[in-house]
Amino acid sequence: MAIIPNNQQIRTIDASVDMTERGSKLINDKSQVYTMADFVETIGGGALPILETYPTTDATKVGQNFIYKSLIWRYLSESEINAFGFSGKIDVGFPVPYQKYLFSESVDISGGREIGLDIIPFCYETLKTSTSIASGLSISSFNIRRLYAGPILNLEPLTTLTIPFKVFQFGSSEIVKVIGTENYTYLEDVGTSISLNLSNNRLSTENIDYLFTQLPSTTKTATIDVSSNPGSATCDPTIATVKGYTVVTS
Amino acid sequence: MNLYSVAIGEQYEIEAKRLQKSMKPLNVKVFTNADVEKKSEDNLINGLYHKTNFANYIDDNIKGAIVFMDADMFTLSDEPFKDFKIKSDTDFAYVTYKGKWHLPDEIRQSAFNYHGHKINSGFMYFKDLETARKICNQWQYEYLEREKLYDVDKGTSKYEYDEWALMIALQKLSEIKIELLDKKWNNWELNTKEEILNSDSVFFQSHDYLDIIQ
Repeated sequence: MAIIPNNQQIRTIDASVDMTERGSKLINDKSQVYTMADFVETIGGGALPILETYPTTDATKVGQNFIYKSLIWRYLSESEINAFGFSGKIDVGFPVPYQKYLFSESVDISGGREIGLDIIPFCYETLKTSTSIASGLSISSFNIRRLYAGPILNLEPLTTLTIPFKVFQFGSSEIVKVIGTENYTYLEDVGTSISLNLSNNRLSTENIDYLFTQLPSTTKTATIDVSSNPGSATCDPTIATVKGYTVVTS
Repeated sequence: MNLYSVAIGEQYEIEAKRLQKSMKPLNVKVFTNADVEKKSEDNLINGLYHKTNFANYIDDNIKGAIVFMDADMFTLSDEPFKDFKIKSDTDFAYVTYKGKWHLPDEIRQSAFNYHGHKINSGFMYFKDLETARKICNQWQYEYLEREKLYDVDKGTSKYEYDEWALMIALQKLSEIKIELLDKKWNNWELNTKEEILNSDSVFFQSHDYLDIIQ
């Protein structure tokens, strides 16, 4: 199979132009006009289908990806449903946002690499950045810009900047700042899982207080764990408790 | 030692079966809906109430220490109580949550400040039935008092579960001698099956992995 050298250029012709060779039947018989769609089909992969309306469960499309609202989604297989812990709660072919993260910007700073992330979790109740972020990255900040619920059961589409998740579990990471918490309007403890677990990170006093300040008031039972951070013992938890939160420090 | 649990509801009964299986040949008596009267139409409140009152469902003639375990608790040890040692003058023992807790209300903050920690009620030792009933009588009362504040007081709802009521109860039972247990007696924080299987802790808690006991 011939391989086109990387430095070769291809001039394309608009689809409106008639490519029929008028002077020679022989040339027409021995040539074929291909379009870009033919290239894609030949090379393989192809573009993902784009859905305009909210997807519904389709067991015939298990394992297929598609695009909805600029995110990659996927019709889940039984093994994937089991792996996510949703066995018995959703059917095979249930569609979920499957794109785990997008890099929004990258700025080199001395002593490390700072990366801002748009985190797109697909799990309704918990987000584990330790499993969502590629190894080798030092996450110094993240900004939740857009979120879409994963396998929620009522299938209602969500609006931008609405964060329906009750619980965020970040695990042990290198987070030094959290912004966008004014959008955390659904925080609520679920069983033994507290709402927002930021223990064992690199949050300073200033950034913990900033996180507290941005949070909306709550009437729910919502616990925020900022223990084992540099600023744990010196932050001001009353910023959050006066809004109804329970706070755990070191 | 007499072992007990409470499982109000089908899912909890399933979990309690795992507990009983993991504890064999030791026997765990599990109180279910069949053993109690409904206290609340809310399933969570009803179930937690009966946990706070569990000692009053035990036969009067039971002698010796009492250990309560949550229905979703289990062990992977063949002899889970082999190394379980309690001081002779201890009335009540449990594992604590870590950290310093800051509450949105004065009642719970006072309880935390009194104890200096938050109590985890998933695994509890009581010196004897009399001690267990003394604590449970106060605990169930305080739990019902907390219920009156759900969705009324700031940041207060049924999802605070039963432990704050227990802490408040113990504030009023200052004569109870308390001992804090090592985390291995209730390592509830482990999330994955691998973490549990690789741990040398004695007891775990999880609503998952119902088939972990073979």
